[in-house]
Amino acid sequence: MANNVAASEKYRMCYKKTGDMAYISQLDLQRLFQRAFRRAGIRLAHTHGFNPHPKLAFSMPVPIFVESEAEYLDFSIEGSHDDATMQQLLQPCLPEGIFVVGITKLLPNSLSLSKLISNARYEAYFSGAGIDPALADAEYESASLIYTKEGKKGKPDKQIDLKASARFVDFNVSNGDLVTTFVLPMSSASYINPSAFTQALQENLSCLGAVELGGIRKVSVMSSLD
Amino acid sequence: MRQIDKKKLANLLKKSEKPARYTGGEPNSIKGRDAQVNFALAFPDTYEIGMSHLGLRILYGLINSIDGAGAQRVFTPLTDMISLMRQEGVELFSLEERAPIGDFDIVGFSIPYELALTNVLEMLELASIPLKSKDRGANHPIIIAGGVCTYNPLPFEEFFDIIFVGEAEEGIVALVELLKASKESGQAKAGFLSKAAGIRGVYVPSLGGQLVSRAFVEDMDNAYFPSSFVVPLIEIIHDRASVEIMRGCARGCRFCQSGFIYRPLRPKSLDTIKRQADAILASTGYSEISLASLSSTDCPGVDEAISYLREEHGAGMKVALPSLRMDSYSLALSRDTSTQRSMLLTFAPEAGSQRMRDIINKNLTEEQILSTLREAFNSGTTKIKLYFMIGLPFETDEDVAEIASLVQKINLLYLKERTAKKPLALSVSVSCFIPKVHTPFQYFPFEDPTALARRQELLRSLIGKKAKLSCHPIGASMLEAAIARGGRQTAEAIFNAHKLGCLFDSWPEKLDLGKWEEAFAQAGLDLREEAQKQYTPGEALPWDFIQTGVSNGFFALEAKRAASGQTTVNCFEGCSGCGISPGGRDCYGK
Ligand code: SF4
Repeated sequence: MANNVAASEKYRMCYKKTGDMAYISQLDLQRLFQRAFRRAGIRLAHTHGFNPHPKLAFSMPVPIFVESEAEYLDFSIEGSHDDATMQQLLQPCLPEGIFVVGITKLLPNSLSLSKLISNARYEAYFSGAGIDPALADAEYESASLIYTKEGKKGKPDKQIDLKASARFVDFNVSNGDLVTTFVLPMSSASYINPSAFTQALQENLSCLGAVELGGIRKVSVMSSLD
Repeated sequence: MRQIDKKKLANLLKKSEKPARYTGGEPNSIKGRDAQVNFALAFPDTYEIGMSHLGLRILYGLINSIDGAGAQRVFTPLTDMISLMRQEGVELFSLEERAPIGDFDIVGFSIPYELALTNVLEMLELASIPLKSKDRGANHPIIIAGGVCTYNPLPFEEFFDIIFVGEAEEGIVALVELLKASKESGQAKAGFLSKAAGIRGVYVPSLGGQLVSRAFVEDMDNAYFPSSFVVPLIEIIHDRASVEIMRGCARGCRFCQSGFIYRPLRPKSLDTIKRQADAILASTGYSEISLASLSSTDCPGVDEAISYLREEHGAGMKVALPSLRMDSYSLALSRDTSTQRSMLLTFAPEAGSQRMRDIINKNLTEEQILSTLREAFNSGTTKIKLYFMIGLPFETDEDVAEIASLVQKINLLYLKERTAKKPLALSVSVSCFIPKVHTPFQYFPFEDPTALARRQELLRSLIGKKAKLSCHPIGASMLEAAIARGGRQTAEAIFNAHKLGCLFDSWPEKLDLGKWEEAFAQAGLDLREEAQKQYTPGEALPWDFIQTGVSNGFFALEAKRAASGQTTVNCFEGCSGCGISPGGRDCYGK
């Protein structure tokens, strides 16, 4: 059976999803990458079986409307390419807003993205707020951020204490905007949606209630090994 | 060009249901062309529907390939976005540059069906462009209509400055070049329009009284075809590559408008098909391709094209073949396009009784239907979809009941011939016949709606659980019939319907027939009477000034043959003298 195991190599890509690309869903993104690989002439390895599909494994995606500087994708290709050429081939086939930061070859026993990535750091911008960050800090200290997650398939709703889940929250001013930086868990079991978190901030911190949310951006991810 | 206020737009997008419909930026879309002639390519339906239209994709590539011209797309925003735009005071804008549509030199609408006309008016209004041609000035864009509906432009001509009748590959280039020259020489709009009227296929309603010959492409191998398609970021209706392998149809089904307005049959050569398919697949990364035409299996190179695509692009390449006839050759080809036995086979017998199939000139016998299905069942097919029409000229309830008998025979045949374990999944789709201009059936009325309702009911009771039956809504079909053969007065009804808030009328859940009846009444017309208009074969018709090359004498003769159940041969078997070419001399297959 040895000759049945096709020579396929596994890679990890880090890419940005910014600008208008924040408007497309994870499903759209999967299609986008499959076609981009085809256009670039890079043959993705496929699963075997009745309905073969390309071997792509994404890190937990950012929700629609959230931009990201740190998205990851593991993929396997048939044959081999050098990492730098692959990046050069792929980038022109991607739309504006999807930018390949880097591609590296994975060792056979590398941890999967879902096992590796434990937390993500986000920034939320409140445009032209003119709010004293110290006031936001103080309000945050005394606020309680409870988020009700709708139970799926008849299961009861879940109350999640967002404040206890957040690893880090900070308020700052940059270019006249108020910027909130926060770190939320990424593992599928304890994942917190950054849009839900930002909404909870706006609902519970009176200084943010009336200002306009400019956008949310995922800045980096952290590994459980750190 | 101006651009829509970025901040306002970002706000709208955040609130809209699917923002990626409005942002463009897809791979292969062409951004930022500073053009002498800015052409807004407008499609009066959603992004998902418009982007699935091959015609639009051809025009996008074509116009962008003209030196000094740039095409940008715009679709009908969904109702949520429309209200947001009105609230925020944002004008209709293009996907590529987010430029206001009112700033373009030309706005060209491709009108795919009559029920999209209120969307056209809504889009003009959102662009702050006066709806009627006579109310527009020198600073407004030139508004053009194209697409199949233009073969009877009367019901909407007052909204347009130019109506382009026929195949646009050559005429659009001529129009754009003419406008470029006019702009350079500072010529006024009126001068441009009267010169434009000299281009084949161009009808300028404000000039009146012209005979207009449809434009058509003689040499399909040398006709423009894009080497790349915009690849949508969101899912659309037909999200795949597509190559037109042939234009025209040799069959002559008497109800079918496409069968006459695209005459004669013009297949592309195998080399052209291969070259165009390779280019589209390479530039898009699609893994599915449709070989488009009105009757796929009549295209001489189709079998070789299929095997080529599968060999060249790997077994993962799906090849879709629409419009299959019911014969073993079609079956063999469709089998070749899918390795999966669970594939759905789709056929259109159109009528249940042999009498009706002869009247419509389908040239298909029950024996052919059943033997094709026998062969399919023998090789494991379990899913069949059949298309029928009711309300055809000379039809009786007995003819309709024969649809149900055919369904019964197919069920029995399956039990006898099947090789698969699964039960047969048979779906039957029944539409209402709509008389269309430039066909032998243009003289006949739309059937009485109560008779149609009775026949649909009859089918429901006779078919029961023997098939999954879906019947098209009668009201929408009646409205389409009323507009399709409408006159100038109909334009007022469409205008009124727009004022009453009609929009997305081709969507069953959105169509408000009551409002349309009111709109017709306000224009002094009765919707139902309009749909049921009748003409005597041979008499002069209001849309005769649009000339397809098929003679009125031929249409009248075909209508008379239908009345006596006489069939007419297809163009492969012999020329029946439709008028396109003397004795079929220059027609393919003759
Ligand atoms: S002229 Fe004859 S062969 Fe040509 S399209 Fe007409 S009927 Fe067919």
